[in-house]
Amino acid sequence: MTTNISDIRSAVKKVAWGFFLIYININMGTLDILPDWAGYALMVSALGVIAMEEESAKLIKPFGTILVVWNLIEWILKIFGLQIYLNYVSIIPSAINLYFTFQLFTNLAAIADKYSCPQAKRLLVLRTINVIFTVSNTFLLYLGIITEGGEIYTVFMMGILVVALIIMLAILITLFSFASSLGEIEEQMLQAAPQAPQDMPAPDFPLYQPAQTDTPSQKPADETDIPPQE
Amino acid sequence: MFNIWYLLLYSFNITVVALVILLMKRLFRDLLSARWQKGIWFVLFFRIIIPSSSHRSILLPNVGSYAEMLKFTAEKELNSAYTPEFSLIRPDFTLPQSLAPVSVTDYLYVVFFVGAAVFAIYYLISYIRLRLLLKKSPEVPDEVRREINLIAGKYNLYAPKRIVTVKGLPSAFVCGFIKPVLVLPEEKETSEKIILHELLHLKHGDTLKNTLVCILRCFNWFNPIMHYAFNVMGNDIESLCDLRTLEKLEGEERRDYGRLLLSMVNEGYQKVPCTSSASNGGKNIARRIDSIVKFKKYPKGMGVVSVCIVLFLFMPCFYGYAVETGDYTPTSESKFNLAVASARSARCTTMAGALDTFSKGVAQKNGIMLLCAVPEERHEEIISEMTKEDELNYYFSSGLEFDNLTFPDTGTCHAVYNIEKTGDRTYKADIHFDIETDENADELKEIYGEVPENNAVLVMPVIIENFDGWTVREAGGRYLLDINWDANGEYHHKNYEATGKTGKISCGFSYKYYIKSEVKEQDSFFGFTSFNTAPDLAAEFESEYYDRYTVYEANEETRSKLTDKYLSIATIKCDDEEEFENIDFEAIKKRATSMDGLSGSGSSSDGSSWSGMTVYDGWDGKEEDMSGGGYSGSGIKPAENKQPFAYRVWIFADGELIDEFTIYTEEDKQDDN
Repeated sequence: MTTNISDIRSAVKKVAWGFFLIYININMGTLDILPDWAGYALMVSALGVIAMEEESAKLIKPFGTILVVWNLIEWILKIFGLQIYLNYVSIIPSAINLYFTFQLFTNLAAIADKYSCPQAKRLLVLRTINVIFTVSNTFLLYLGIITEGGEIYTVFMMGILVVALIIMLAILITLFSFASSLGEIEEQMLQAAPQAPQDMPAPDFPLYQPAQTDTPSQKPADETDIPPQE
Repeated sequence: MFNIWYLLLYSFNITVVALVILLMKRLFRDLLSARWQKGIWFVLFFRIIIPSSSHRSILLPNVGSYAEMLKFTAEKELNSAYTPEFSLIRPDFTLPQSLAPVSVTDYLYVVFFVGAAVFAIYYLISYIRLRLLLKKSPEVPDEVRREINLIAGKYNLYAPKRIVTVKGLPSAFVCGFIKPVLVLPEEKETSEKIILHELLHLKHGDTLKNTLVCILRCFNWFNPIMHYAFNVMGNDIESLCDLRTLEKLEGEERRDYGRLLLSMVNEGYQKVPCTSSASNGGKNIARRIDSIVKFKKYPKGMGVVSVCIVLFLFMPCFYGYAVETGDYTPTSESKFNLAVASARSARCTTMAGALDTFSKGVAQKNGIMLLCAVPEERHEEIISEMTKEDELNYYFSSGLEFDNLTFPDTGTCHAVYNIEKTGDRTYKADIHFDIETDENADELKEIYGEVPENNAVLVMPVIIENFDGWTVREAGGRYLLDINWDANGEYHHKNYEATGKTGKISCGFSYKYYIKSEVKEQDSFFGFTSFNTAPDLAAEFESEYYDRYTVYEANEETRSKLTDKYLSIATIKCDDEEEFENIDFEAIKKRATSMDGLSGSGSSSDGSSWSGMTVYDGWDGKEEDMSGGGYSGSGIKPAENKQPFAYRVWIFADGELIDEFTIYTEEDKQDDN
């Protein structure tokens, strides 16, 4: 159980760092040194452990792989200054990303609930807010509600940026605090792990019996060999 | 005119949407339930029933432009009766009426209608035959009816009034949606679960949906991909009904249901409009059984994201992307044809964009740019000019004067003045072009009469309209003005005049609009700036400069009396009657007369401005007040009519009021001036 929590904690941390890489971009010319594809790769690598707790997480692994490949292609093209206009095709990976993120958060929330972490509800709320925010932005922009330009457009874009920033920060804080909560639980469990009690049942394996010979034992007094099983 | 080109473009667009949906369904087949798998078809449904025009492409770049290009190239030679050569591809659903087909494209159009009619007639005949058969079929015995009513009551469903049996039927089905009939096979007993399945079809209007699908098949009879999509849609309706059935059943009953479906695998079925059947073919049943196995295994809590994904797909699939333009100087025939098609399909999405595009098109004599900005009725003229003498050239003659455009350092060669609203969606404005008049002076004189020396402003009155995108056209009446700012400013001002006891005044104003024009190059060494000559169809107004101008001309008698006196003019613009009633004359007088003999000018936030000078011997009698200007870099609303209600002008000499004028700008009040 202790090992399991440790693995889960590690997986959650990977997801948290994955989102960090996706949200934060540091560009040196055309090179993004915090590439999005690495973020998705981290998340995909965490899915194996998450799936041990939540089976449905297995289903989104192919999606994660698609997102890694897609973002890697975009990243490479960007390095060479090849800004291929992929808007038309990108609605498919964008839709996949919507589902991937939503499902991942759902699974993490279920795990948090299982381990009685306080972040369970917040993860669900952030999951829903994130997906609704993404879709409503797309909707409003397409409807041309803010294409008149001028002050309305500026105010609207600023509003979107502020909200997006808040959501991003909330997600990162929640994920890292979730990992931290799992760490605390792991510690508590280690502390609560039983000492070698007096009334422990006898072990299955036979205790070492020194050979009955005249030759004194060469081993130090505190070592115990377990004879091979016949 | 609805023609084969629109049909082909429309069919292509909906096919692309269908393919995207099929791809998404495949990707999410194990993740989102049958509800989502069926619900996502609403994106295609909306796309089908609400057409778009060629200026928005569905998902793929510039499909509309290519379609326009193909149409234009083909129809040049064909002399179609249904597709005028210069018409744009538009969703206009008028039938050919009495015009006989002439060209190949006309005949194809007729073939389309014939095909649609054949399909419609086939489906109609099938339906009528079925209804006639059902009419003759016997009603089920009372105990069967009671049983079916019990089933309906148990699951809170509606049992149709007519329940009949038919000989030789492989499985039950429902027919119709206004007066639905439940049809059962005569030879064998129908399981409760199958009846539940059919009643659920009735409850959710699946027969109506199938009818709609049949209608859509008629209009897409020539498109195999759409037929496949409609087949999948029909299967999804069945799968969703299976899901609903399973949700009503429990435990072993669900397995029984799966076994029942298995038993139908070898049964044939026929698509008849207005019907729904549990049996829809072997392969489809196999897929449905697969879905049944996955029942309840879909990830939970996915409702929100299911809806969001559909909405996310809806916008690009339904709304599409605007046509892109960019090649305004094509160098080959194919590029020229595509550039023309793109320009014709494109839309200026803002007033500033239309003015920017039109002005740059005129100034650079570029017909491609003009096609982006002018109304459709001018396209033929522009294209004809560009293709005259079998030459394909983006050049379009704007007039001799544009051979001599000047490009000032600080901006473009053109400026927009006095935009006024004249109707619900129409406006007028003046576009000014700075031109040199030294060269071609004689030719210019022939056109315009008097021509200022060296430099002039060419004023082009235009009409701006917003019908399906912003367009600009010349209103006629170009004229030249002297660029010398020391003139009495008549050229860009709307002028009003009044005469008083000491002389006369003319008062005017103008609004000048700067459009954001991206700086292309800034040379830090030589210090010049070259602006972007490419138009921006979605440009915005960057700033607005308001200029007010008052000129006082004293009569002969007054001039002599004013020598060595401090003459000051004060002007105030009143936007409405309330402002007019509440003028603070004393404050204005104090400001205008406070210079104590020094010449000076100024303005105030109350809308007043003043100017003064000490009258010298030999004064020409004119004094100008140009200080009533203003600048705004935000909240620009050029469409609003900014003509003021009235002007008040006072003339002071050494602080004493010697004359005053009131000018009303509205015509019915101008007799009061």
